[in-house]
Amino acid sequence: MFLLSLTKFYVVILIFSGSSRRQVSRTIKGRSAKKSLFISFITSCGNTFAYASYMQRDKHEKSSVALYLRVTPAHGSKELCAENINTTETEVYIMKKWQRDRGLAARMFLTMFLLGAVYITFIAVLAYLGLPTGSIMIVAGIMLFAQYYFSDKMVLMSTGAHVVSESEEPLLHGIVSRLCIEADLPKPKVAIVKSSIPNAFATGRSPKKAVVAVTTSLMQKLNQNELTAVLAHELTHVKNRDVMVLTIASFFSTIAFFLVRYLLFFGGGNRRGGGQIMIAWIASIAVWIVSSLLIRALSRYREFAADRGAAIITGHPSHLVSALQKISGAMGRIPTDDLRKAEGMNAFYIIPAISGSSVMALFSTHPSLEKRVAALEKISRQMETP
Amino acid sequence: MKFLDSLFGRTKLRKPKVDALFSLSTAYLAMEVMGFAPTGKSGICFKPVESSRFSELESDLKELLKLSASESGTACQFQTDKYNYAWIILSDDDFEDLITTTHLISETVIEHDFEERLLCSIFAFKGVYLIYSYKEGTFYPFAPLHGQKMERDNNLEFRIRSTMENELPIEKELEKWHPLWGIPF
Repeated sequence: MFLLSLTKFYVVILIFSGSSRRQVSRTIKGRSAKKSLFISFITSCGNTFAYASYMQRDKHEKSSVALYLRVTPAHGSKELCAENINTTETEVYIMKKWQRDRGLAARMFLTMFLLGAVYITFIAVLAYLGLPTGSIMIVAGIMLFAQYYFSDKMVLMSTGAHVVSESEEPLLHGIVSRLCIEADLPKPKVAIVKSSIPNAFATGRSPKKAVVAVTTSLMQKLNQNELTAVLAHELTHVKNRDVMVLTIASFFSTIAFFLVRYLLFFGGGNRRGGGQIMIAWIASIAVWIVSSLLIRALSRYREFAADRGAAIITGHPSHLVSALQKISGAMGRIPTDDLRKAEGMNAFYIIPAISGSSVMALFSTHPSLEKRVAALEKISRQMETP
Repeated sequence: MKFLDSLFGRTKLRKPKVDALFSLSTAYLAMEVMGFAPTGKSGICFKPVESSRFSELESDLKELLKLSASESGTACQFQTDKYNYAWIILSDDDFEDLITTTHLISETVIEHDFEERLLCSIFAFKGVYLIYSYKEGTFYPFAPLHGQKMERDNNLEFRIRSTMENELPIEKELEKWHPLWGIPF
């Protein structure tokens, strides 16, 4: 069954490859009403890959099958076309069918809905009290918009990341361009941060203006597969437009925060009575607290979504799992000294009780490692069931 | 009482737990599904003491194992390793027999008051071991990589943890996942 579908794809690739003689990315899209076929050729690190993905939408879900072939020209010919593809040296990568995570989407929707409800109530309270908050809203709006609009430059400046060219970091660029073709994204700028902490981030107001950055330590610690998985995670943030989503989500939260700080001074000028200002102040504090908790929940869900996207783009959830384990330092905690050696020492230890950190989980912007790994394991189980 | 114990320096070794062993009798099926079939071998590792009572235990164990061998067909063998720990290595194609025999041996060792001497029991699967710590009453995976170097495949171990978490009591503190190099089976 597998082989059969493989040959089908292969035929498709051969047909399409006839028209794409250029080595570097030539994309052909064939679209029918509900099915789409996407084929492209990419050259990376001296190898040419043919990438074909086949997407099908039926009533319930979107499923996709993707194929990745390393194609090499037959001996003696330099250019790649239908006649001279060397079939024996072809490597095949298969991406299994995938589904959407409805539970995650529902939780995300609920969070956004609650956030919207909190904000509308907040505006209503402010309007009812008739306080002069318009100017604060304008100031906060301009600040947030600037932050959003210049997010790429600001983040690059504040982290000390410098953008690298293709010739400086061919491997990193190669991985990113391959991932972008799979994720159907314009290629973002690639930056490197000199840091001993393994980390990566993506920023930018739109996919066209995006920057993906990794730290030098991340590149040292992870192997190529894990690095690909981390970059795929960051590219999914770009694809999901997480910068925009979180900026919009935090708009009124920022206003509430401004009000908490400045309302007492603002209100002092007119003689409208301290009671109203006090109510507005308390309402602002409540909105600020509730909305920042909700924004954090939203951020965690976006992380799950990005993990999921990375698993789907790379087709290997386990690569991201091992990257996360390495970054978090969980691997370093596993001892390498023998139990029989350690046994003699154990009698002297008083084992500290480890308390649960469930309260902290509410305030963090990223889900815990265990939860992320569990979600990724779920995806890999889904991939295994046909 | 823990506080008072530490205050007065009264070292107490923890009592071993053996009942959690039986959770393996369903969990090994999940291991099989993941592609880690049991190899039909398991071992119990304990530290021998110089005393007549201990040799009494050894002869008791041998007799017991002979009996259980005739009943369930479990083959067994005694061995001492370079750390001077004693091993009882069991082999049986029926995995549940391995578990019950391991439990039987552990109980016998405890009955003879050598409970603190029990170190761990180990169940071999294809490419990975599950180590049962008597002190904690938990299991943890150990996947040594081939070759002379003392290296282990942490990724595989994490994968096993995440799928077996619901089936087995898995040791939560990674610091306690001590390896045992050179397991003799």
